[in-house]
Order: sequence, then structure tokens, then C-alpha cells
Amino acid sequence: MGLRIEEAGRACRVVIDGDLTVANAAEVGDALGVAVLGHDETEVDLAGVEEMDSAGLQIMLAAKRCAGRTVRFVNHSAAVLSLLELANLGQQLGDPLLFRASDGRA
Amino acid sequence: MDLSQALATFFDESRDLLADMERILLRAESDALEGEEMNALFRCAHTIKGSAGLFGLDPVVRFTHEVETVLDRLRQGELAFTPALVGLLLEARDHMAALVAAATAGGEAPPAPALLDGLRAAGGGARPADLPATVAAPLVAVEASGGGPLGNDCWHLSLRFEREVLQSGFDPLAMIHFLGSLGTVVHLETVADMLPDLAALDPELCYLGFEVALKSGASKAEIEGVFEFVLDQARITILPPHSRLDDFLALIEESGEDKFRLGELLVACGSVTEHELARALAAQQEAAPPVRLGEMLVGQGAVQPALVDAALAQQKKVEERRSSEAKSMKIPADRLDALIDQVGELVIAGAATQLQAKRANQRELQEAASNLLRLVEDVRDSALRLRMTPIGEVFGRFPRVVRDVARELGKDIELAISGADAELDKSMVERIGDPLMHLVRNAIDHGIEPPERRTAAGKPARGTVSLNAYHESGSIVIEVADDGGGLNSERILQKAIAKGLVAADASLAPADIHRLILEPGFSTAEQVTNLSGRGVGMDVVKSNVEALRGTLDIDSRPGQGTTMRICLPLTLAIIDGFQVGVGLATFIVPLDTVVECIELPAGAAGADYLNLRGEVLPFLRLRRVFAVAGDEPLRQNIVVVRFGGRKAGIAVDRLFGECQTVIKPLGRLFSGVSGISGSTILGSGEVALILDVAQLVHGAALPAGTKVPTPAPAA
Repeated sequence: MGLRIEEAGRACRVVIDGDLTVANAAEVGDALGVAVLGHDETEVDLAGVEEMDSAGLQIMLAAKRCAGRTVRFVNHSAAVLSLLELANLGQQLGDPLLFRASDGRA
Repeated sequence: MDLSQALATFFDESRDLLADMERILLRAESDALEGEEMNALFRCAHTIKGSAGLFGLDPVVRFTHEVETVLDRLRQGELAFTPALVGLLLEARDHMAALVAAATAGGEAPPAPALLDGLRAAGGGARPADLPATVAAPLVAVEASGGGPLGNDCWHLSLRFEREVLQSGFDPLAMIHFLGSLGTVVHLETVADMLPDLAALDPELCYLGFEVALKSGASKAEIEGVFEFVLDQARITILPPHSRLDDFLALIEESGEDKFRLGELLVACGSVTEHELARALAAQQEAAPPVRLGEMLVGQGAVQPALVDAALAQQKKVEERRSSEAKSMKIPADRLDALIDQVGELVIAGAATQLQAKRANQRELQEAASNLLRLVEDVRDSALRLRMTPIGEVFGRFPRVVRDVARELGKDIELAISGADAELDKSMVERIGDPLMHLVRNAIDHGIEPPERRTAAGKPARGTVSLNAYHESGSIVIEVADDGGGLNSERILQKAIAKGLVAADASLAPADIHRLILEPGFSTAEQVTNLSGRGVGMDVVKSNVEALRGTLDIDSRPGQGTTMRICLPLTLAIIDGFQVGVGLATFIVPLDTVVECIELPAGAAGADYLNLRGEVLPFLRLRRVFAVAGDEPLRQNIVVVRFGGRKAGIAVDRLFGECQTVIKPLGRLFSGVSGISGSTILGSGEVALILDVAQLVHGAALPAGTKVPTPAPAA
């Protein structure tokens, strides 16, 4: 489980590995908060997310709500996709980078 | 928590609900029910089932469930009321009452398999063949109230979680995922309106809510079971398939959230369709003045106005219910009795204070004391009013009685009730029920003629029994009247002569003849029915009424009907008394029995009767009756009293005049004492005995030599 931030000027890329659940929600939330608020554009790579729950979902939704900042989620893992589908939020998040695949992997 | 106490509350509540149910069902027999009444009817059964479930009273739950199913179908308009169905439901109601009573007593009521079969037939899918196709009518009525059933066959779940639910280790989405095992989640809307942005977010708190449309064959309990562990940390509302718009509106109202947003969510879930909302809108338009819809709602599109409008109406209803709940409260009768007892003591103490103040001859003190006494009397009046209950409580049970008895006798009878809001003391309400019941049954059985005879006499075939109550100078009058054939004076007289109640050559006024039916062992019915005519009855009614210090009058006109008039004092706790003195003792004669006061003529000193304007008036000497010490004064007075149509005199030493008397019952020790009905405490602190005039008159009117009451030798 880890969170890595790659700086790229006014943009940044966050890579989340491991879980995105209530267990590490505080940690991920704070780190993501720093990344999102500190940059105009943030890309979050979810390929490594193995497990996700309501707390993780809230972080995704909250990140999307930060005014004046652009947040994109990319490379959704199967766990993320199935949860978004369950919550019927795929469209609402409006992520152009959200890929659906029949085998669960983008 | 003391379960037995809660159980008593359940019993009380159930009794009220069952009474409501009976009332509505009886109405259903004659009129079409409004949507609101249908709902009320359903709620009665539903609440009883729910509460019974809490106590684990399985027999009640099981049976009531069947009743509820039928009522639900009626409510949904899938079933229509027929006389047969009303009859069945009334029987079912009675059985519910029996089950509740048995459960409360800890026993078991006998099962009613036939009833159960009937209910299942009515509640099941098959519509009984004898039901006419009038299903459409109630459906329209229900729709017009804005609560038509919706066509959706999905459960609708509205889930709102408390912030701490994640920290407690529960994941809302995991539960929703689990819902999938019960059926198909047709649609889900995540409500993230409360979610702050990332900077303000506490990731360990839950900000989410969900609206879920679930297609499932599971029961509500099973669905609720999914959320079993978070029930105290969430607001879970589960609406069954085909819920009514009302239920959704209630959901919107109770959520306290933005109504427009939630309305949109419901539409999004497919739980409410735009079409249904439009239909509700049309119904609203019919029910409400058009101005309301023309207001600011136009701009909102067709969907929200109906929702908001009806949601506001719903809210108003909730408020009204709340305020009416606040208007009355239940108090155990014994606490009330204790209060009234204490207030009685207070009155006495106040009077004593005033007496002392008078003796002390201090003007300020006297003023203060009389002020105090006035306030205390106000308090007493208020306290007595607390015990006042509308007579309607008793009247309420008669529609059913009349229906059943009339049916049994093959008569068509209408019951007219008026004056149901006249109030009288609670204890009287309870004790007047049986005598009234008897009078009503008598009126139906003996009073109202069979339909053929009524038509022949040029009267409508449908007989009328009316119950009426009104206040008259400090007492309440209750009338039971029928428009039947009236009392047959001739037959009554013959029978009375045959029974030796009157001499064969007696000439009696019609009113006196009518009173003969109140004599013990008198019955004129030629046909002994199940209900009456066994020769017990009217005399029992009479003595019951007299036990309440009331009177029973008969007013009968041949061919036009009979009116039985019961006149009762408003309360048993306080009477207007007439204070008299014998030697050092003081007695109270109930004022309503006092006719007049005269001086004892000197010539009658040794006799037991005197000449009162040409009439023989027997009298007794209170001094002798109660063996009061001292010599008879030169001048004595006679209080002429009347009771039960008889007059007698009571010789006393002094007359003190009227006084308000708080009645204190005598202890068990004195239960054998005749001639005294109670005691009271005078302002001076002395005890005065209240005379039992009925007994005294009885004694005085008997020929000399009989023993009641025995004149004791003066000590």
C-alpha cells in the first residue's frame, strides 16, 4: 500500500497502490488533498487499487469537487470500476478517462 | 423497563384502535369510505400487529396479518366493500379483540379457522365471485386524495447513514452490494450532496446516502435485515412495491432534505415516474384551489409542484397530529382520584381557615381566608372537570350493538346519536353503560315493531332508535327513544294485577302504569327472545340508575314510541347538600331530594305521620333513628323529601341550609349501617353524615311495625 506523487510543474500525477478503504482513507485523503490543492491539474492513477469502499469513493467524489482544480482519474482497476458501477457514479464523475472493459481492466 | 406496564399500554391502545376499526367498518356498511378513512382502517390493524410483534404475541400478529392483507387490498382498490365483507371484517375485529385480551391475560383464545379461511379468501389473489365490479369507484377516490398506488413493482429504499458508520466498521456500499443477493438493484442513486470538497473532507466520516430501487421477492424484514447492524446509525426507509405517492411524499417530508433534489432522485430511480407525478398533479388540481398551483410552482416544471405542494400538506398533517397528541394525555385514574381527594381535603381545610378567621375577628385575615377559599373552590372545580368524559365514549359502542341485535331479530333499525359530547364523571360513564345497553336492547326488541306491522301502521319500515344526551341544571339527561308502538298500558296493568303488584280495582294514571314495568319480576314480552323478556331487566336498570343517585322516567305514547329518560348528577364526588342538625350532630340531606321544609305541628308530637295539606305524610325522627343523645326541643322541623315517587318527612331539630358537600365514602366498617350513604367534613372540622334518603324513605313509607330502620330508644 502506498501513494506516490510525481511533480510535473503545475500538474502532478498521483499513483495509488494497494487499498483505498476506510483503513487508509485519512492518509490517502490528506496526501491527495495536498496534491490536488497544490496543482492546477492532477491525474490519479488507480490501476493499483486492489480494494475500495465507500470511504474511497468519497475521496474520489470530494477530489472532483475542488473548485478551480482539475482532477482526472485514470486506469481504473477492476475494484474501482465495480464499485463505481454499484454506486452508479461512472457517469456522474464524468471522467473522460474512465474506461469500461468487459474483463474489468482498462 | 417494566414490561407489564408497557403491555397495559398496548392493551389500552389496542382497545382504542379496535374501537376505531369498528366505527369505520360500520360506516363502510352504509357509505363509501374516504381515502383517509381507508388508511386509518389499515393503520389500526397495522399498528396492532406491529405492537403485538414487539411483545412477541404471535397469535395476535399472525391473525392480524391476515386482516391487514385484506384491508390493504381494500385500500389499494383491489377489493370493494360488500355487506358480507364488512361482516367478515367485523367478526375478524372481534376475534382480534379476543386475541389481544387473551394475550394480555396470558392465556390463549380459541382459534377461528372459518374466519381465517374467509380472510384468506378475501386477501388472496382470487377475487370472491360475489363481489360486484365496483372496484373502480374506491380507486378513483383514493387517487383523488393524491395517494394513488404507483405502478412500480420495485422496492424503494432510502438510505441515509450517520457520519460515524464507517468508523464503526460498516461500509454502506458493501451492504448495498449484499442487497444484490436478495434481488436485482434496478437503479441506484448515490446522494453525495452532503459531501464537502477534499480540503474539508474527513475521510473517515460517511457523507453518503443512497436511493435504491430493488426488484426482489424478499420480505420487508429480510431487506431490513441487511441493515440490521446499522439501524441505529442510519435512517433506513423501505417502501414496498406499489407504494403510494403519499408514502413517497412522506419520505420526502421526513428526510428534511431538499425536496426538489429528492424528488428528482426518486424519478431517477424509476420509483416515481413523471407520468405518476403528473397524475398526482391533476388530482391536486381537483382537490386544491387552482390558485395554489398557479403560484411560483409554474416555473419549476410539472414534477416538483405536486411534490412540494403535497409534501407541504403532508407536513401540515404531521404537525396537526403532533399538536393533537399534545392536547391530551393519559393519566392513571387512581392518581386523578387521589388529586380529587386531596382537593376535597383542601376545600374542607379552607373552610376551617375561614371559620377561624371569622372567630379571630381580624378583617385582613378574613379577607385573605375568603380569597383562599375562592381559589380553592376554583381548583376543586377544575379538578372535577378533569374527570369529565364525553358520554360519546359509551354511545360509541351502540352502533355495533344495534346492528347485531337488529340483524338477529330481522328488523331494520337506524341508530341516531346526538349530544355525544355532553360530559359527565368518568366513573359514571363506566357505570351507565350496562343500564343503557339494556334500554337500547329493550327498545329494539320490544319497542320497535316488526317491519310488516310498521308498514301496516303507516310508518317507515325502518325503525329508529335514538340516543341523546344533554345537560340540564347540574345534571345530565340521557334519553333512549324509539319510534315503535309504545307501551301497552292495558297489558301492563293486567299483568301487574295478575302478579299481585297492584289491586284489581286500582285506578292508575298512565304514567303510573308505565312505571310498573320497573317493578322486580315484571316482563310483558309474549315472546321470550334471546335478548330480553326473562323478567329481569328494567328493575335492574332502575336500581343501577338509582345507585348513581339518578332517576329513570318513562314517557310513552301509544303508536308513537317510548322514551326512557335517565337523569344523573354530573359527579359522584360532590353534591349539593342540605345541612340539618339533631342535638349536637349534623346531617346532610342531598338537596335534590328535598321538596320543602315545614315546622312539625305541635299536635303530631307522638305520631309517625302528619297531615300535609290534606295528604298523609309519614315521617321519621332522625333523633330516634340514629339514637342521638339529648331531649327533643320544643320546636322541631320536618324536611320533606321525595325519592322514587314517594314522599316522606324527616324530623330534625334545626335547619342550617344549603352547602356544597364533598362526599367521603364510609369505611368498610360502616357498610352495614343503613340510612347513611357517606360522610363529609364540615368547615368546622366536624364530621357530618350524609343521609341515604332512598333507604330512609323506604323505611318511613312502610307500615308501622316493620323493622327498617329500627327506631332506637333515645339514649
